[in-house]
Amino acid sequence: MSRTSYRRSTRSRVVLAALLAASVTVVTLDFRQGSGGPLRKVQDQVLTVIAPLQSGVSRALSPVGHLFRSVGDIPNLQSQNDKLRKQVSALQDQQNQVPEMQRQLNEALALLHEQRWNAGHKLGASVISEGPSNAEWTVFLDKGAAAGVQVGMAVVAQAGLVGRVTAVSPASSKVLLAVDPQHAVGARLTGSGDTGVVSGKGQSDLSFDLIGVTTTVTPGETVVTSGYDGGIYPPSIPIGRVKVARRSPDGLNQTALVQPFVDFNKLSLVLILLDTRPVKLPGQ
Amino acid sequence: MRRSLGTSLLIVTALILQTTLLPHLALFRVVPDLMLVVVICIGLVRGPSSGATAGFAGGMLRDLLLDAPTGLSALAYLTVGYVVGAVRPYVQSSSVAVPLIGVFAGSVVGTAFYTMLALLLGVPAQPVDRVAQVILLTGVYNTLLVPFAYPVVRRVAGGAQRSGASSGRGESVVPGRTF
Repeated sequence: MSRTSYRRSTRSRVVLAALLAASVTVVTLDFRQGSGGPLRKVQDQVLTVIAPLQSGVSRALSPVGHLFRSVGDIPNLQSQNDKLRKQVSALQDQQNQVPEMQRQLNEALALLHEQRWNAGHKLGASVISEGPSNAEWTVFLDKGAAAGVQVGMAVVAQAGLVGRVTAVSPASSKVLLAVDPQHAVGARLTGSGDTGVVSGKGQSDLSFDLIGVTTTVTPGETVVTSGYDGGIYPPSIPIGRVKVARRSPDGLNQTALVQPFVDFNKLSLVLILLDTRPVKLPGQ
Repeated sequence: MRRSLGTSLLIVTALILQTTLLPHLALFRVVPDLMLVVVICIGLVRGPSSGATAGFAGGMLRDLLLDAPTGLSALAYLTVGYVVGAVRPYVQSSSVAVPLIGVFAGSVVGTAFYTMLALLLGVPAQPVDRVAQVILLTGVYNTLLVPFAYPVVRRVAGGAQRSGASSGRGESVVPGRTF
């Protein structure tokens, strides 16, 4: 090896050592900092800069995306169409009864002093991009602090629970989806009223844990948020439907697989519930 | 100077495409990791220290959009960028198989390394079989991106070496061809 190439390989080793040291330092800093540390600010700034770019590219590419996503649906279109026609006529019948039912519902709600899950102040937002990892389930929205969004607010779609806001910049925000393993929410079975915890598994289904052994869990039963005092989510947000339930390995309680109502692969428009009170956890 | 500007642009473009276009192309709920592909290609074309620098910059940008501890992807990607760049001169071949195999191996090792680091730092993990599936699929899927990414990276980042004009600080990736 000539002297020049020897010098070059020494130089690249120095570069390697410096960069390794820098990233280990950053990891350590991030581990030590609370929610207001210097890295947190850099994160928010990166979000501020990158969000408009993502938003633009996302809009420009949306036809391509729709094309790719719909190719997979083609085989089902015919049967879906038939099913939908039947549903439309059934729904038209039902719709005629709606005004009367609405009146009854309003009366009942007033009587019970209960809120419907998406009542109160809310803000519509669209999904501009998704998280850059196969191990985290997040989306970025086009509304941020300037529109009143705060960390900890609940996010829902028309079908039900989506997740909660985990980072905010002036014009965009990041949402942790309910399918992420880091996400957990207090939940209630609508049939028996028994409560437990629904957490993400990183797959399409959610896991509903800590159901009592004596509770009867029926497949198809709806699961909603329980909304304990001090929790993030208001009560009665629909989460999903029970697929199967089985006793946990220790035999002390039951665990159910829940199929979420929201299709997390096709999120586009969501509502941010501005009335949700973000909870301060100790140590944050 | 122009080359590092081009490389920076490549990295930012990779980040934006990663979060906007690529999620639409998911297969088995796995999205290819374009950033890692770009880092490996830079390592192959420009050598170990450029590979490490690109891995650090790209990984750090990616980390800032993630909830996992910041700096983890940077650590994993810079290691892969360096190793790929350091091994390249020992492969005496200019066949198209080189970037394909390099990206496949680098992606599998890089993704596995990142997953292991995240696990060590207490990030909630998925079941082992799914993790293995994600790592392998990322490798395969990243390899499919090589025909698109490698020529672009070589055009943007690799220009000066082919003309034979040494920039003085550039690294030679072929042994014996030192200027």
